[in-house]
Amino acid sequence: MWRLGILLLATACGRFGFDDLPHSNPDAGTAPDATDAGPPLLACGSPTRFTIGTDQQGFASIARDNGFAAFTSDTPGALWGWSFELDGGALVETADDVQLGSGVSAQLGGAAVGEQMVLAGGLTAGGTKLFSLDASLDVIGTPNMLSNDTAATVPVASSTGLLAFASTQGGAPAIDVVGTDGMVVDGDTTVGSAGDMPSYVAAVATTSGFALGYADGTTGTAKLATFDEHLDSLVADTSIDAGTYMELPWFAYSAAQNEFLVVWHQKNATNDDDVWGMIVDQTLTTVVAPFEISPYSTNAVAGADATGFWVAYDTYDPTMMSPNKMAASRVTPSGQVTARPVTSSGGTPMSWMLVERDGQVVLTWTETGGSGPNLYFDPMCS
Amino acid sequence: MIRVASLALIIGACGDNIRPIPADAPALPDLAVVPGQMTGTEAITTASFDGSSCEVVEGCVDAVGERRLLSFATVTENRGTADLDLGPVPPPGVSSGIFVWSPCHMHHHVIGYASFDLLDGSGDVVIAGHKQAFCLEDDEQIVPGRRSQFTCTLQGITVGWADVYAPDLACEWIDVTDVPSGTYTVRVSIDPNEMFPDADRTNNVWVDTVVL
Repeated sequence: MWRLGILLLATACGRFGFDDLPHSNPDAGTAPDATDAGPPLLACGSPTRFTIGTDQQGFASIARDNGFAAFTSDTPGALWGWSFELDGGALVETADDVQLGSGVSAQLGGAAVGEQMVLAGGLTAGGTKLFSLDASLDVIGTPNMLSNDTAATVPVASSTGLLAFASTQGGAPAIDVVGTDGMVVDGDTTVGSAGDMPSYVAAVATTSGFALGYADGTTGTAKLATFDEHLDSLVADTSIDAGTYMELPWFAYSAAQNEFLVVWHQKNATNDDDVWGMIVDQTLTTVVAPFEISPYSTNAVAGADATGFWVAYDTYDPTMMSPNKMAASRVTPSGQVTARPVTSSGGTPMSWMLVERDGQVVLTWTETGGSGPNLYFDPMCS
Repeated sequence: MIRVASLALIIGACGDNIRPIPADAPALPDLAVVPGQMTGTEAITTASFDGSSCEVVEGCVDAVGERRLLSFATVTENRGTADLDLGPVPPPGVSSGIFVWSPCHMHHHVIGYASFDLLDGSGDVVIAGHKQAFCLEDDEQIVPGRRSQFTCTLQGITVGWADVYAPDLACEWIDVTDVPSGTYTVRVSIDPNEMFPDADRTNNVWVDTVVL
């Protein structure tokens, strides 16, 4: 069955959180299935590349039933979009450099239900605007202005086709349920407080509803709370404590395992940064204790497919002789890590996120200083 | 176990006491300590060091052997209107300007970014100016709006972001092995030598009372 609820999210630095739903096609990355009712998955191997704007204060990518979209906000605050459709197994650009708005900050994130997308854009003047978009990037209706919601948000889709929108309200992490028109259905549920100095707030869809994750600046821990689809609490705000300062934590949910992978980077004894992860179950109890994913790496994002997790991050040469590179790893439910090389043209990564489309995790990232097109769609295949 | 006074004294602007920036002011970074993420992080630990340890080589402890350490977090945000962009680091093995090559860590440090002092009840300096080296980067987003840009390979702090050094990191301490018991003030001064552009230097210092 072709899945309708596609999702995902983004944050200020272009990293994005990602959630997973039951998979109709767990054989991610194989050749297109002629019997499948919907467009095929992206074929494993070389990434598909396109050219988008190079001024990227914010970056977001959304997976839809029939393709993908990419969005940027530039230094003056203009919001731009590109849309891509699967055509016979190939990804084809169908909308190019469409200006959708202005006054937008780096805080971008979006999700889709079917082909209809909701894009959240933080505003430089404060508040957040939710744009409802079709696959051609036409804005449907009037964008919903949420004056009391501060960006640093991550919207996601739910198994019921609703979207969860995360933000901070009065400094506290908050979550709303919104429709595909961007209007709030159920909301203003907050956890923690402004006193926690929360950052990197992210919504995650689960099989039970949603989770809200964030970084607690006062303790250096990641925190998660889970809710049902009506935002009734399932597990209260809980510290995911790795015993160290967890920088820029990110959250992925595996529906197959009913577990969360939390990734972050932390400084080591030489003040270098290493990416780590830990796995907790649906009660937010530790299943796999903290484990190292990649040394000399930062700004990790995570996603999940039917058999485990994927993590993507910026990795650097500690001697600083060569430029930073985009890198990725496969993480099994038991915490085993296998590096997965990422093809580039020799430039350095600008923005990256993992989006999930019909059970396949796709690394969407942009490069600067390389040759050729700067946007990559790279399916994560085992 | 260390006892920490319940009230931290913050020199300069607290979060709700930010001085307005004139409209015609040039765009500048504004480095500022983040008291909410520093106060209360103090702890006393002990650790042993031999002569080859980086902590000894880099002067983070006063002698080899077991040392008593007052550790704490250092969190600096850029609440200004321009990024603090330190530019590319020199080649490996080369020290230049603010970047000092650490043969022990095998990478560059921004030397003198912060100094750690311990003062007695009279305000006299008991331990002066341990200059802590930093790798300045965007570790935490304090104010949403800008993407992160800086890591150890391209150092700086973006507007709205903070560099975070947690108390469990090496050299995030003052060596208090030889300090008598008593009540003291720990002081962290950001950019004490005024090497970097900074719109407001009154918010660069954090102090807190500690009992050793």
